[in-house]
Amino acid sequence: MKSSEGGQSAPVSSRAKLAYLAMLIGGVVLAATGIGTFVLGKTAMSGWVLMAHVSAAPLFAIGLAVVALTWAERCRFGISALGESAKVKALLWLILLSGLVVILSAVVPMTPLFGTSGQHTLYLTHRYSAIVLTGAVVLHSLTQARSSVKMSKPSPSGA
Amino acid sequence: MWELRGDNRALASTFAFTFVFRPMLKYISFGSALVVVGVLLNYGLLGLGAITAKGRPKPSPASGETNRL
Repeated sequence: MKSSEGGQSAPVSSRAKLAYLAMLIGGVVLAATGIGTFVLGKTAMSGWVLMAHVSAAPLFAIGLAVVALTWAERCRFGISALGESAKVKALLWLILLSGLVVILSAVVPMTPLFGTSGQHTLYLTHRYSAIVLTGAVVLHSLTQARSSVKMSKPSPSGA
Repeated sequence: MWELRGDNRALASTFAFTFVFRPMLKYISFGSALVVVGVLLNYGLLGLGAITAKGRPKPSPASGETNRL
């Protein structure tokens, strides 16, 4: 694990990058409509904003699933050959875990499994897990962008 | 109905049209969740195996025990 701490990790495959981009685009729309309504809105999400939110959801869900398949191996703890830093690894697992909670808490209320109070609990779970997910995605993408800039810069020694 | 409610017609008809895609949304969401659960379980169990392996006594070559797995 220590060998990857200096930012020297194997390049990310194009499929993994594409999946991450899809997840990011979907996530931006979801965060803008969801958290934007939560912070700025006085009423519950409805109308065009709700439709934009739900339209971006499949893109995010598919992106998250492909990110899980393509990024999991390089983010295994204890594997340093392909690996990322421990912070990036922890953030990816947090993204997957909170993303799973976000997806399930959004779709399960569409089934007749829960009553009114259960749906309210799921709604609150969706809201707060989405806030955690947004924070984790922002931190993860910033760390990834910083490490890719570091890798693209030539070292001062010229090596 | 949209006239009685004072809604925007375009909004009401678009919202009605989205219900065509509602089953697809459920399939995609549950399918994606299943994939993520699979990945989390797989790597979670691998991690658990790695942690428990540290506490497991190693078979000595002299005792003739072999790893059957």
